Amino acid sequence: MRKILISQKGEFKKQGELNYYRSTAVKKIAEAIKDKESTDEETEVVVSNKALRQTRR
Amino acid sequence: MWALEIMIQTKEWDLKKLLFQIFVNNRAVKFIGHPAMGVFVPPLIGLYYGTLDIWGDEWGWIKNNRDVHELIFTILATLTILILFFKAISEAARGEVEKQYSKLMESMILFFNTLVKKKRDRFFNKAKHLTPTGDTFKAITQPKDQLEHVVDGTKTFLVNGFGIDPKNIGITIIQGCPQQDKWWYELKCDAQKQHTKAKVLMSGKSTAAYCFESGDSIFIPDIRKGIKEEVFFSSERSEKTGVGSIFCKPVRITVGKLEYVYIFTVAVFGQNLCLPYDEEECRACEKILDEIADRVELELYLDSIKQYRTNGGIAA
Repeated sequence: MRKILISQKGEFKKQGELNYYRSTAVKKIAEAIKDKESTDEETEVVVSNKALRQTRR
Repeated sequence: MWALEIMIQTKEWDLKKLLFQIFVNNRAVKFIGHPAMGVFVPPLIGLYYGTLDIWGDEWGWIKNNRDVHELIFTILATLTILILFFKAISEAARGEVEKQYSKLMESMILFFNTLVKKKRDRFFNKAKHLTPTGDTFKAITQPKDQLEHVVDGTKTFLVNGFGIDPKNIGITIIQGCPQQDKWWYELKCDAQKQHTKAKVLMSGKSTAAYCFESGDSIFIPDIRKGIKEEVFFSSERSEKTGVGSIFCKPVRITVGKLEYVYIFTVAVFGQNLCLPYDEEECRACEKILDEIADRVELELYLDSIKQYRTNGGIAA
């Protein structure tokens, strides 16, 4: 399985430099990759260590 | 003070997102921008304006309903100005996204193409010197060389596609023998740079250790979240830079009766690969990194098989 540990909005005081156009382009690329894969492995998004440990194999 | 800073940053991001939704990514704008609308509507409106101008004083259905036609004219004129305004902004924003998309796509295609080219060139050159009784596998299979190329290619991709500063990128492959608790760096993208010792990472609360224990790959868009949730080992470098992102993928390969364990890591310090709380973007970013990791995994299979053969089936 693939995991993503995302943050919550406003969780940390300083954000890195952000580019909204690139963000949209990244999403488009990922969409294009996904479209070509019929057997995409499951990705789980979690927000805490507890959730990370709970879903361990 | 920092709360205000977050609010400003969040507001700026949300505002950009909102503007993008209003001017580019919604059904109304897509409808207005549809090619059929561009072909059908302007001539029709032009015809109406022309009819008013030329036949307005003669045709009864116009001159007898002047008020109605004034209202229709005003509405159409206002709508035309509004639509032109929306289309101009929409096209400009869409053009910017297309520019970024092309840049990313080109970097990605270049990355995959150079991997294939490198391998093809090696096969082409080695094939000329093969003998019927020689060790063909040993001659043509150079996973170390290919891995170095993948790692360099990944760095170039991140620099060109994501606009990451090369000095902020750290890509490593840790190899280990868990039974003997031995861990070492099989490959580093920058050999000159000091890295936390592999054994320290694997015995601490690090992302690599989490991957090894769970068997899952993990993407942490903000390393501060990783530190907070105890799945990132805070180093001098990460403390100095503050923000950053990390992706780790474990690869376990069984050759004969031996198990080879590798941890592939892509770390970015001082910059985030994506907005850490935008789930859709994080998923997209992770998907791209996973594609890269798949290429690394393929070479690691060959690397483990070659190590197995070289060491005569004895652990490294």
